[in-house]
Amino acid sequence: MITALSHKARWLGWGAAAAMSLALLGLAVHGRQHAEPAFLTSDVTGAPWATDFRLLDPAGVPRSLVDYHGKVVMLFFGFTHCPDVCPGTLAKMAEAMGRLGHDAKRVQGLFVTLDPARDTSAVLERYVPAFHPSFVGLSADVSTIDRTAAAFKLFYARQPPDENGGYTVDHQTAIYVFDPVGRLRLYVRGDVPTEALVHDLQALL
Amino acid sequence: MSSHLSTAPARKRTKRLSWVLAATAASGLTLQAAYAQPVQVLEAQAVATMPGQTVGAAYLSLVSPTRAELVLVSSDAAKRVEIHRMSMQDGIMRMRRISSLALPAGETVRLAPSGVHLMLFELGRPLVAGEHVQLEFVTVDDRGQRMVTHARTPIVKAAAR
Repeated sequence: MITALSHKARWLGWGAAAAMSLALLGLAVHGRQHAEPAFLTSDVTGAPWATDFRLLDPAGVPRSLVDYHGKVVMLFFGFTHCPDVCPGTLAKMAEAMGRLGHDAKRVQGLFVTLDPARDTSAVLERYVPAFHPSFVGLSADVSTIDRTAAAFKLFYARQPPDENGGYTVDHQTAIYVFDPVGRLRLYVRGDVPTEALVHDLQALL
Repeated sequence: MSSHLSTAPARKRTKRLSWVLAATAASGLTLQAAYAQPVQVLEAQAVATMPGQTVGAAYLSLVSPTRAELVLVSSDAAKRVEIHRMSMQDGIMRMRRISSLALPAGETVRLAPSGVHLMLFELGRPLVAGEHVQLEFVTVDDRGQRMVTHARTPIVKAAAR
């Protein structure tokens, strides 16, 4: 009876070991077949658009990508009269900075206004760093903003003003991410969670 | 026979009277219901503004006991409050002002981020988390009855998306 049991137990043990090694083999094969992609957001490396910009910071200093060389750049287009998506996205970018800890020093957040008439340098100077002290608001005259948006393949449309002179701006809500040598690498859609953004920023650092 | 003839109209009168009574009672009840259960404003919150931001947003739920329409919103903190509908399509954010909002009887109508929400324009003061704003909602029901509902609305910190 005892030998029978131990015999059975031994077989069970072998069975379990075999099942486990099969499972491990399966995992290994699965892992090789579906190698984890380097990025969780859209890899747009080599895209011919969004190569550079020439805009003004709130102090009136011309800025382009070369000014941020050595840093990974997160660039987002929006406007301060936007109630939800724009502050939400900037808050997400700031949250990513917090999660990066020390590495955040090598990441630059930029906000480009699509509404230069209302988002004056005085407004941008206060609004943008309120999310993260290192973030910079960029602007220019309307035609430069139009050209920049076109060069970034960014859809946006200022709506006609209402009877109070108020208007809203339809726009794409993605974050553009550049690597430390100023090459466009990622297109981060608005619905991407902070974790994925942090993961991808770390991959570029 | 004569008594029968005399009672028939009497019965009819009674019947008519009871109908009138029932109708009065019913309308009384409806009125009472309308007064007893005004439009409810639930979970209202305004979002704290960032420095430099001159517009605010508020989110809440509305429940009207009878079919009604939200026609006007005002606030002590802003010159104008507008109802806006936000939509996201193919990664493009669009906002459009809507003139009124239907409130089906007894249904909870949510005004939330990424959907219909309130926009506060020309803020008289920044919206600071922990403070409150007053919101006033004017609704008109099917019978044209106007109702004003007030909501003391807490201001909360903006959240990351």
